[in-house]
Amino acid sequence: MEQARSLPVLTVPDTGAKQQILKLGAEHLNKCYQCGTCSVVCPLTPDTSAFPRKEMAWAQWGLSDKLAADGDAWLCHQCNECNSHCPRGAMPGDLMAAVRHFQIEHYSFPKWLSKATSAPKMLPLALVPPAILTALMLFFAVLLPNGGLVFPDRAALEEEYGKGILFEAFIPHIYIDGFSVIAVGFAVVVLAIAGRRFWQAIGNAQPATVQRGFVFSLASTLVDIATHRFFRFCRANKPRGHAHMGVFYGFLLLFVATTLAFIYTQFLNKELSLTIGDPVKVIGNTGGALLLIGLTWLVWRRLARPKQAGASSYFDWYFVGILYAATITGFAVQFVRFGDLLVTSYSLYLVHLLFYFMLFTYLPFTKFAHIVYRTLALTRARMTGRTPGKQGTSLTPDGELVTVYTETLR
Amino acid sequence: MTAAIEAQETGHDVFLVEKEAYIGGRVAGFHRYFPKLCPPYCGLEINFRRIRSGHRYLKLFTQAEVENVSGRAGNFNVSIRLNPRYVHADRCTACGQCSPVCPVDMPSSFNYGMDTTKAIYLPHEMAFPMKYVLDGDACLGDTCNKCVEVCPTEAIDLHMTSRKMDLTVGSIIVATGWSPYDASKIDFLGFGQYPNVINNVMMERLASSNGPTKGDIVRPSDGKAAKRVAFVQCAGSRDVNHLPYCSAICCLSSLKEATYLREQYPDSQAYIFYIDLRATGSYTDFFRRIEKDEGVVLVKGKVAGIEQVPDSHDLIVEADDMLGGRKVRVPVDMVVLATGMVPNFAEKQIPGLDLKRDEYGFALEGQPEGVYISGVTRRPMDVVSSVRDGTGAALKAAAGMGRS
Repeated sequence: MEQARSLPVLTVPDTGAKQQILKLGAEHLNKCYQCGTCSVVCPLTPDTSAFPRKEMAWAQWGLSDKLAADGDAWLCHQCNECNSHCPRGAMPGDLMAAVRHFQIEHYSFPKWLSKATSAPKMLPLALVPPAILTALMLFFAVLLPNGGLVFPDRAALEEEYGKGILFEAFIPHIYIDGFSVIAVGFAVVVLAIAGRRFWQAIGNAQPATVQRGFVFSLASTLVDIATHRFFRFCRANKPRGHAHMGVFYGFLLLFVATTLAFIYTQFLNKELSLTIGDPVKVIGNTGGALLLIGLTWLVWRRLARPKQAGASSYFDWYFVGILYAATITGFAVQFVRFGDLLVTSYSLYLVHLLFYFMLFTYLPFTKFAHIVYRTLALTRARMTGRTPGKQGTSLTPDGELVTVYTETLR
Repeated sequence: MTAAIEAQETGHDVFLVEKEAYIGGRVAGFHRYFPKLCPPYCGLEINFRRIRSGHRYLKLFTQAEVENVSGRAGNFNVSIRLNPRYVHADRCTACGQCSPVCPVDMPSSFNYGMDTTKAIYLPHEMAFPMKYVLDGDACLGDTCNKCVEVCPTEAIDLHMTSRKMDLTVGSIIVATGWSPYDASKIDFLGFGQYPNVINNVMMERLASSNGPTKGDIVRPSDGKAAKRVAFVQCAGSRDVNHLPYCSAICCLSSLKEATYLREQYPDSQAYIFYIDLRATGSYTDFFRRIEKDEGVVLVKGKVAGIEQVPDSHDLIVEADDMLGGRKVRVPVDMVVLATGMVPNFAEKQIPGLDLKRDEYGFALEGQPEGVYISGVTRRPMDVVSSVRDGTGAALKAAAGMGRS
């Protein structure tokens, strides 16, 4: 009997992986008919293997290996130019966000922690680790030495420091620093390993000739990040860049303030709960204000301008929400302290610490992880010359090289 | 037109109500048909002759619009308004002495504004009826009067007014045709913004020997030969933001228009940017034939950006060339947008004749008894299908008349 003619198998679609991607917020993926409008209107894609069209094709076929090793997902800054021009309403921008989420889930571990931040119904579970950290800290710092929940005595503090409320008298620094080392240390280790895996994957997937060294590429990438260079290419979702800049610099100033506070306590032997005019307080409050303005702007855009901002998944809301909660409680603690409300101050301080732990414990599992993934992907793109935007020359289909004027930044 | 002629030849009296001053519709403006690439006047001439020699009554009303329809199958009353031609058709001999003396230049609607006509003009070289027409809005009136004075047959009457007329008919065939999609609504293709971005019906006029350039395919901006031309498929079609449907003919019309270019300039280059090239049935052979031409480059990837090179009218089209795996920016002299077909009366109704339509404005089957649909009023289709559809509509109308 003649054997059935078999065709060479180029690709086997993985429907399971595809379902997974669809659930991460790329629900309109199936509408795509591969016209390439998205890649043309995208102001950030390089000319070769342009995104997001190729990601749409990979995702439709469920090619999770390709998607996991796709550094281009991070060259996308969610301008959503593609979403507004897609002739099918297939929302390529939403897919790019879903691919980033997919990668963060793919490389981070343990998996159950990343599940904890994936759906609203998991929120109680997500609260458990930071709550345990906060509770342990409370136990060792307050309950155990004092034999119960005892707030520092106002009169004694005023006599010694001239301050009615002093947080380090409630929970000494050593406990905050110690538990921070546990939470942040865990996060940093996980993120470092995940980042390394990601770095290897994108390197293997794009074995392009390295044109620039790592150090140079990283340095110029950091400059690009500091100036928010790529956001400036965006048109449809341009305000997002400004809002993100607020969050970015707000966060950075708070990091500086925290470091200075650490120097105050450890090296200058100065107690905290500073006055409003103290330089560290000024830096911290400026940062907090920038963060609050930026976050509010981002949230407002997601709610009021969903077409420009793109789809908002729980993954987006989780990170924004926790950051918002940490910021708001931070300000609240300060206000009630200046308002001299003793019990409220110390209680709110604990709530603030809970969100602080929540933010950092989940660093490798939430959108927060983008600080590593995006930096690495942009660095790799620099090294291999996958720079976004239009280049000086172009090839016609018949192989003719033509010079094309370079688009100026808008 | 076909439906009217066929109905006449089945032995019925027919009124043909035409909005324009000539019959033949969009086809009259085409350079050639696919797939045989013959000029449309072959077919039109035959039909004009069939009208003239018909043994039954066929009354043609040009510049006529339906104002109201009432009654029911077997006894419709159709009120029409006859807009003034300002030229007595029975006296006009189309001698052409009136046009040269007219001082008014206005954009030619037949040539989509690519050249001008006088306020008194022949709709086009092969117009049927072969009679001049005067544009009442553009005409300077009595103060000028030059054409009236020069006309040897006293055919021009500047004081002609519109007339109304009631027709009693047994059945109605709706064949209101189509218009090209307004490509200026597509923000990234530069139509209406860059002079050398034109659409496919304009390309037909450019290539026609009776067109604005007498058949020279040149750029509207400077008259320079357009040798590198990009054809942009699905310009607004299959797009939820514009026309969500496929018009079925644009792929073939671009392939056809590429042959105009290739014939005229042996060193020309046609780039056809497509999502899928749709040449169904026997049209596949047509596609294969043109595909072989090395001067026709097919690029899989939709053009989603057109820019004009600063200080020139050269254009750069941008697409993601899927088979080549990279984005391309191709410099060209001119761009032809393959715009889709929008049914006329898609958004408004013929008064008294509330046709059932689909979500895109095409008329559905199952209209009120005695009302039949023909051609692009039903769905996007090519000339051949439209002619066949007209024959079918005539047959249905004739059968309906037999019952009543």
